[in-house]
Amino acid sequence: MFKQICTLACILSIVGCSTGRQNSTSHAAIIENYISIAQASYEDSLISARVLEDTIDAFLEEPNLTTLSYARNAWLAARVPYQQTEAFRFGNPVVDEWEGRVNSWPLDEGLIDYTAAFYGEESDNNYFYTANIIANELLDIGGISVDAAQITPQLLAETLHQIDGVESNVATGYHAIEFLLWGQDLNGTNPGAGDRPATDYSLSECSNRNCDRRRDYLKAVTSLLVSDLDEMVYNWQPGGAAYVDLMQKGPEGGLATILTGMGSLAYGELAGERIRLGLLLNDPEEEHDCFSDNTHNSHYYDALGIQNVYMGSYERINGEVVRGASLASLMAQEAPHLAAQMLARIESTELAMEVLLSEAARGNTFDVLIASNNLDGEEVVSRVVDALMEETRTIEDIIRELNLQNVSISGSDSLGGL
Amino acid sequence: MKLRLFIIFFSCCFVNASIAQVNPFAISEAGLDFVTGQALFEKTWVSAPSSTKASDGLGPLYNARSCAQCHFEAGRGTLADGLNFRINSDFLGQQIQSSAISGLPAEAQVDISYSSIVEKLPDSTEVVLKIPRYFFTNVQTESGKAGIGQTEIEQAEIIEFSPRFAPALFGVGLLETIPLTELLAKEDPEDLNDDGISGKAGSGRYGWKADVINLEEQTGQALSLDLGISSELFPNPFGDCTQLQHYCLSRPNGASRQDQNLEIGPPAFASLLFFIRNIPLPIVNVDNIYSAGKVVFENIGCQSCHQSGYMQGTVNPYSDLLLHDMGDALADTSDDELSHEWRTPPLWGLSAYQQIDEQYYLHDGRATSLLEAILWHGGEAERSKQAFKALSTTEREDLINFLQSI
Repeated sequence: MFKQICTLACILSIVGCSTGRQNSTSHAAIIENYISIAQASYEDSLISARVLEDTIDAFLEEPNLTTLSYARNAWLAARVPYQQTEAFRFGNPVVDEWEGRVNSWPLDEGLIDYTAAFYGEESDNNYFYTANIIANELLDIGGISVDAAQITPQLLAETLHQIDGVESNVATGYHAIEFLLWGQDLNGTNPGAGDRPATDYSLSECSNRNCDRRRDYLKAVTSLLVSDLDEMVYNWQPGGAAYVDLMQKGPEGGLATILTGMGSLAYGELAGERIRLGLLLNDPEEEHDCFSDNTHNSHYYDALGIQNVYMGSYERINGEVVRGASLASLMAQEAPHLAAQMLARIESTELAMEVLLSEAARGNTFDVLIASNNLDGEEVVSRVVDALMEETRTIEDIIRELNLQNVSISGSDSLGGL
Repeated sequence: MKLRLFIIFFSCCFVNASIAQVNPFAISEAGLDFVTGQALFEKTWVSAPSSTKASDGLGPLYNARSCAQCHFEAGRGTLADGLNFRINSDFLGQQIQSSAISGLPAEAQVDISYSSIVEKLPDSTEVVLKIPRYFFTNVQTESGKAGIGQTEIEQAEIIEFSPRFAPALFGVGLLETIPLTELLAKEDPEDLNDDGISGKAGSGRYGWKADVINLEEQTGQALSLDLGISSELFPNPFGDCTQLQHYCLSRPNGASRQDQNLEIGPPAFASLLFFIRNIPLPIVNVDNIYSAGKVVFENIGCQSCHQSGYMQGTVNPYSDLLLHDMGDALADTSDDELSHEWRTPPLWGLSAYQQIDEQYYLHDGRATSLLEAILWHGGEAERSKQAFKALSTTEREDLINFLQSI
């Protein structure tokens, strides 16, 4: 199911193709194509979220292991285009401000539903840590009273999400749905993902109680994801907020935005917060997709998203390819040496990420790799960090070569002196 | 994605981009150390046991859930998040923790009320100085030690205490690099030069009482007292719970074998310390420093304590890092012999706050403007304050402008 992986040969053919047309790749054309890729990527995210919604409806219609596995597969498939859109997040404030609604993590799952005993019944820093919305129609904790009799998208989005100002009170988005489909991963840094029974959603043989409210929650949170993605698709159409924002930056500003997004995702976010911090803490909770053990894919498709915007090419979920003027072709004209170096960096990152995929296929998912004293795992994960770091260095060189101003790569200020 | 809680929460009040911490390192191992250290600085700790094995260990008693809660963007605190009270109590320990993990009573709640006095300057400018009074409610007492169920919550008065406001952390690593000899050269405990100022060295260069030797100790102490997180130097997982607080000691803790029985293991602590040590100062354009105000600053003797020019003029914190008697009005109510003494706070980085509406200065955040802060000076600083009050309107404004530009 997770293929559509662009090999090096394919990358080269794309470059060959665009440089073949030659003659000054204009900044405007690169930005235009970048927007086309954004539109297609968010549309694909929306389409696959709608499929997820249909599959969840079918699961709720008849909750059993098979329909649950369909729903889980639909969630995994929905992550493929979405993770690729993360390259659009940094540098585009419209996306960055919206993103917390759909992709917040980590989450204190006790806010949403029952949790295993080891999770700790007496909460912690977070009054809503074990609020368990699904089990409680009326929440009255820490002085805040919440009427949760009807679980609606509005209740989740406007009242419960990040309630009490605690960021891990995540009530919405992919990871809330992930928790509802998989349940807690109780395996720590050992192999295995969450294993929620399908009967948690059964009205006739309900397990873990409150199945009606759990069904309501799953429906509400999924429909919210669809409407949030719908909003972002609209934002990238001509006249939409993200589109207008980007166009106002002008040709140089637009290129600066593209490279800001690439560098910030690769370095501060992916290499730093999502990967190296997990390695430092050996903490399975630092796994991005921790309930489903899908973190390897989540990282892989993040890196692919960076590649997409650089190569100016995106393979859609239906196999069609969106392709046009790219930074890669511009660099091939302006600085062939740097262009070749960037291709090598992209390839190294992809190879390092592929090792994550193959390790996961052998049962060594990301949470297993970052376990303390797993030296082999540490090596595999460190290679990914190193590759992303090298890639970001070359992105910086490209920014210098193009003499772009106002680029600020998240997690790095080394461009400050430009 | 990791949302930065405090950016969301306080974005209304803190919009000054110049405070945002920028990574001083190029893309490198060191750069990533800074990124991960910053993530730890902003990390919200949770109580043990939780699903987040490596992130638990908060409390049992605590004042904050993260470093960034009180040092937002590595800057200073607010009255709601960032004002702590040191005490010396067999039962409550060294500090009042106003929060506790679920099922456990916090040690006390603090209410602040203000009375005010008006200072009138020669040009008839009136400055309102607010005098804080602290009321501690729901104070836990020893009679409640039997257990959570039987805990008796009483009104009890805490009379001896010392307020401590969370300072900005810009440039703290540079303070560590100043050779001790340069600092001690400024010392004059017997006031032999007869300038009314008798700076004396504390036992260290950090903390409002200059009692913390280095950043490693400062960071470990803050983790222990403020968050209840144990580290190598402060290995007690129960933080500031005393032996008499049995209900507190009976709680599970977050020490895990993988972290050498500490709640933050040595590698993560090192990363956090690396970030703190390298928090850069806000960028100040030398051309924009108000030189006229600097002349006034020196003329009225501010620089006697707010010293700069260490290490051949490369380190300019505007502090001698020494203790000075600041007068009765600022003294704390502890029974400590240092109750009147405060370490000169560095003034560098003041420029970062000038776009922000809410200002807090001094050891308890009582001053809401630089003007108020100056007028609170007393004791060894009395002469300089009187000189300040005698300044012309222009000179006074020049001085304030200078402070706002550094």
